[in-house]
Amino acid sequence: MIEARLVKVFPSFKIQVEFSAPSQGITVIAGPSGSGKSSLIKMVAGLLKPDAGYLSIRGECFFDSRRNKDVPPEKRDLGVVFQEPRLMPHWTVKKNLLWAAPTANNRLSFEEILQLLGLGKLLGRKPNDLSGGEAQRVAIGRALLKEPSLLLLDEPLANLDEKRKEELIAFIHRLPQRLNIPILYVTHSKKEREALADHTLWIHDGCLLQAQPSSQKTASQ
Amino acid sequence: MWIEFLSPEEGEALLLSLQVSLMTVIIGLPFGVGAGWVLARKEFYAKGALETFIHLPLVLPPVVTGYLLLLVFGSQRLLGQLAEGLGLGLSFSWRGAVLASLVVSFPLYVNAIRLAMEAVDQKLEEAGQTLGMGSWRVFWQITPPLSWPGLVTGAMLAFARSLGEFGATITFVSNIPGETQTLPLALYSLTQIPGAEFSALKLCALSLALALLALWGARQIRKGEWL
Repeated sequence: MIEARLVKVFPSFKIQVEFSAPSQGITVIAGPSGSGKSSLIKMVAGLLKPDAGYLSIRGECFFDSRRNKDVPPEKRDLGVVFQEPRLMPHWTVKKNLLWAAPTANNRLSFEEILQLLGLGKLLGRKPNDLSGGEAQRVAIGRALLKEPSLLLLDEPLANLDEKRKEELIAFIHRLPQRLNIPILYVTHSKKEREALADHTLWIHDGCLLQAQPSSQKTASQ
Repeated sequence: MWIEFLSPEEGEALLLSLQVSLMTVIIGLPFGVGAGWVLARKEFYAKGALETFIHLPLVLPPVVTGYLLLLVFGSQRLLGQLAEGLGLGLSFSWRGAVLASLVVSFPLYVNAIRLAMEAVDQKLEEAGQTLGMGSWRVFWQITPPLSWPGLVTGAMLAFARSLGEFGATITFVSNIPGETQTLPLALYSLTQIPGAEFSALKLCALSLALALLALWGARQIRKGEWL
């Protein structure tokens, strides 16, 4: 279970949300651009400090303003995928993938991730030689290999063309069942939401409108 | 051999110049990286004052810088005596020449590093944090490798500026052959002696060759795949 009450005041904007989301499947945070979705996910990741509130994920408290608790991002057991792949330009794909992977007691095998994301042939390449979709798959693999208890995806398909988007939607769709890692997925795209959401949180002007379980994903999935 | 081409005094001046310049580059590196990072990444109340202080030697006449060093690190002053006590006496010593070079070349060093660090995508640093790197590891493992060309440029500029350092050095540690008489100081002394034109010309050519070599070397390092 993800439980959050987060308040952040910007000079001309305010985010005030309270929600709980199940810790399985894909929870989509949906809303128009500028509604505060990305700030919300940054607060969950620990990259943006809320002014007040609390955040706990699977029983572990990451932030609580009343107890003055703020776990830094590197200590939060989360995987984050951003809009851009953010790979180290001078490292190979393999080194990028293993950046944060634990060296022992791997719950996920490297080979399984390679196969799931179709990365086997890319290992020796540098990020500059990858297409946008390939690079974003590497970024997802990198976050998964950290073996997080929750995966945060912040508009991961925003910079890709339609064909790559569909490919990656299929990959992402398989992740929660295959790896037992819940996903918090931010998007403004109706298509991605309909294809992926098990649950949807609607956000508008920094406020949560409603939380609802999606009765079913689009039939094709 | 080239060493026979130079008189013993000239050879000494050459080696001393190289020694002082290399020490300046090496000692300046951690400070340059630290200051460059602070200026590139941090916002704080006294940032303007720190920037001004670092840049001051760039706009001050070097003689003034040397005189200020004398006032602060002179053998009768607290810091000078402290250095003396540590066995690192600065007065009339090549170590003082390194300090003078360091102060005068530091703004060039820092600026090159700062510009390169500003160009490192902060989004990568954020990604590093989410991958379990604390801010200290991000600082060491992401920022310097990606600002490598700036480090090399800064080191080269500091080296070249140290080779050319004259005013602050002669004011702070005087012009002692074998101890503080670097190439420019030796060249200056030679121009004061009637009939030493050939010697002066040799040192002049040597300085030119060293400067070109430093530029060429930095270019090679930047061009190469070093990571």
